[in-house]
Amino acid sequence: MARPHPPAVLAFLALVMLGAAGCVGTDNPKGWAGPVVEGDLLVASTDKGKLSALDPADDFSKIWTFPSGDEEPELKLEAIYGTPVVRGGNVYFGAYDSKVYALNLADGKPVWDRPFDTDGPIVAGFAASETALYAASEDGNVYALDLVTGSPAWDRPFDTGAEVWATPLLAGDRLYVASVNGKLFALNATTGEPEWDRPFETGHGLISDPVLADGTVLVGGIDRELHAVNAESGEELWSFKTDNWFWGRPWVDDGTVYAPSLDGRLYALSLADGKPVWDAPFEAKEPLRSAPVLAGGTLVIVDKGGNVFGLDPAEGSKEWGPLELEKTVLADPAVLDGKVIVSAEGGDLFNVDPAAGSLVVTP
Amino acid sequence: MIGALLFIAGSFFVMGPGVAWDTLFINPLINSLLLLTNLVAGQFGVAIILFTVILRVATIPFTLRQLQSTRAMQEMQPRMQEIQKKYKDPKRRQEETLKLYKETGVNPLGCFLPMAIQMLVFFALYRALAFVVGGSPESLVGLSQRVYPWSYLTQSVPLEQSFLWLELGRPDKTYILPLMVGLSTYVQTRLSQTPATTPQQQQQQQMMTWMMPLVLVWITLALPSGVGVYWVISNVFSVFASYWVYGRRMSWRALLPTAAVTEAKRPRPKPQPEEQEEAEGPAPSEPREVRSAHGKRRGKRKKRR
Repeated sequence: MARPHPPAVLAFLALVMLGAAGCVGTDNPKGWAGPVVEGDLLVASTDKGKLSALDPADDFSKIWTFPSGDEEPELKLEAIYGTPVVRGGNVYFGAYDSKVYALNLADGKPVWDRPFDTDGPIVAGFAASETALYAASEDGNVYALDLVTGSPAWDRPFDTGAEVWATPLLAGDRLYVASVNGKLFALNATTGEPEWDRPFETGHGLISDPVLADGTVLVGGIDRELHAVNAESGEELWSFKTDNWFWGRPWVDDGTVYAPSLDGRLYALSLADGKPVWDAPFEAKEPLRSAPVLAGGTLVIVDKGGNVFGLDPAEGSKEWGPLELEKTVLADPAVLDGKVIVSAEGGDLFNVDPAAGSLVVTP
Repeated sequence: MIGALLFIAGSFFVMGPGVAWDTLFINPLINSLLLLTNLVAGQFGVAIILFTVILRVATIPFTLRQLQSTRAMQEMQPRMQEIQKKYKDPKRRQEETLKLYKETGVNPLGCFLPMAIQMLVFFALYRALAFVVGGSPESLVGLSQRVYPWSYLTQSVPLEQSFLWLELGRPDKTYILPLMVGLSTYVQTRLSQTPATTPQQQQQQQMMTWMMPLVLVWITLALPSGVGVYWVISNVFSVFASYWVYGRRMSWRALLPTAAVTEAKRPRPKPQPEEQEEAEGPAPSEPREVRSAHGKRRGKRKKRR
C-alpha cells in the first residue's frame, strides 16, 4: 500500500520543523562596529550588542563593558553597527535597539538621564562637533543632539525620506548625509536646513560613508558606482562603475582614492578625474565591506572572509597576505601605535603588524 | 520533465549541493522577487502574492493531476473496501490493490509531486526572504552577492518591508497570519484527503489533518511573515482548484471536524460468509460485483466490460 505510515509522516513533519528552525536566526543582526582609539584606550564592541573599553597596555584587558548586565531593567542593545565617537571624555554610539547612548569614557556609566530614542534601528555611525552629536537612524531622520544633555539641538530632525545607513560627514558647519533612497544631502549643521538647491541623486541607495577630500564628496552605493560630488554645489564630478555595490568607506591619500567594493576588489582612482591609478584593481578573496587603512606606508585591507592583505599603495601590488583570521570581518579597522586593529564578527579583535603581515597579539 | 530532473541532479553532483541549490533555486527566486517588486512599484508584499499566483498557475498541471488522482481514489473506495474485506492475506491484498490501481489508472503517489514542489518553494522562499528583506544589514551584504548584474533589479533595494499589518521580514507578532496559515492549511488538507479504507488509515488522516496546520502555525510564528503570505495564498489557490475540479460534488461539510469523526466511527458492514470463504480460496480472474451503496455504479462498470 502506498499510503504514508505514521512514522514517515512524523519524520517528514519533524524534518520540516527542524529545517525551518535551523534556518531561523541566520539573519539576526550581529553588528559591525569598528574599534576606535582614544588616548590610551581602545573602545570596541567585543560582544554582540556590547561596547567595551580596553587597555592595550595591559594585554587589551577590559576596563568596563556596557551594558554590564546589572542594569534594571535588563538592557539589550541587539547589535552595534556604527563606529563609536569620542568627544569630551564621553563615548557616543547608536544601537540596533533604536537608541543613542552616551557613556563616560572612564567608567562606562551613562552620561545622559536616558538614552535618546529614535523610531528605527541605528546602523550608521555618528558625526560630532564640539557641542553637538549628529545621529541618523533607519527611521530616515537625522538628529542633532546636545553632547552634554542629549536633548535635540535642531527645531526638528531632518527627514531624508528613507533609511540612513551611512555615517554622516561633518565638515565645518556642513553635514553631508547619504540615504538609501539614493540622495546625498548637504545640511547646515547649526540649523539642519538643506544647503544645496536640490540633493545629489542617483536611482539607487547610497550606503557607503561619505568622505570629503579637496572639495569633493565621495559616496558609493547599490548602483555599483562610486560618485564624486562637488561639495559646494552638489553636482556630480565623475563616477566609477564596478561589478558590485560600494559599501565600504573609501580611503583618500595624496590625490588617490582607495575604494573597496563588494565585488571583492580594491580600486585605486585619481581623485581629480576618477581614472584608475593602478594597472588593475587588487583582487581579494571575498567581498570588501570594511574600509582600507594606510599604516606605516602599507595599505591594509580585510575581506569579508577575514583575509588580511598588505598592499603597496603606489602600484597595488601585494606586499604580504593573505593573513587568514578565519572570521567574518565587516567592520572598519583602526590604527593603534602603528598597528592595525581588526574587529571580527562576534567581537574578536586582532592586532596586525602592517610591516610584517603577522599578528602581534590576539586580545 | 525527466531532462530537467537529470539536469538538476547533474548540477548538484558537479557544483556541489550548496552551490547548486543557490544557483538553481535561491538566486533565481531572489531575482524574480526583485523583478516583480519593481514591476509593482516597490510593493514587496504584492510581489510575493503575484509570485505565488504565477507559481501556482505554472504548476497547475501537477495540481490538477493531484486533485484528479484524489477524486479517482474517492470513487474507487467501495472497491478498495471490497478488497480489504475479501482478502485476509496481506500479500494477496496488496496484489489486488495494485491491480485495481492499474486497472483504474490511478497513481497513489500522484499527490506527492505537487506537495514536494510546495515544500521546495517554501524552503527556497524562506532562504530568499532572509536575503531580500532579511532584517539585518548582514543579510544585505549576502544579497549583494546574489543579485544579477542588471541595475533595474536593485532599484527597490532595500525593499519596503511593510505590508498591511505585517513586517514581511519578521514574524507576525499579532498571531493573525499564523492563524490564517493554520486555517487555510486545515481546509486544504481536508479537501485533498482521500477516504480511508481502514481504521489505521483513518487514524493517520486524522493526525495529518491536525498536525500539519499546527506545525505550520508553529513554524509561521518564527518565520518571516512573507513566507506565511506565500503559504496562505497558495492554500487559497488550492481550494479554488479543488472547487474547479470537484464542482458541486465537493462537500463543504467534510471540512467540519465532526464530519471527520463521524466518518471514522461509522461501523463497517460485516463480511458475508461466501465472501469470507472465497477470500481464502484461489484469486478470482476479475473482481466480483458486491452489493453496496455504490452497487449501481459498479454495475455500470461491469456492463462496460
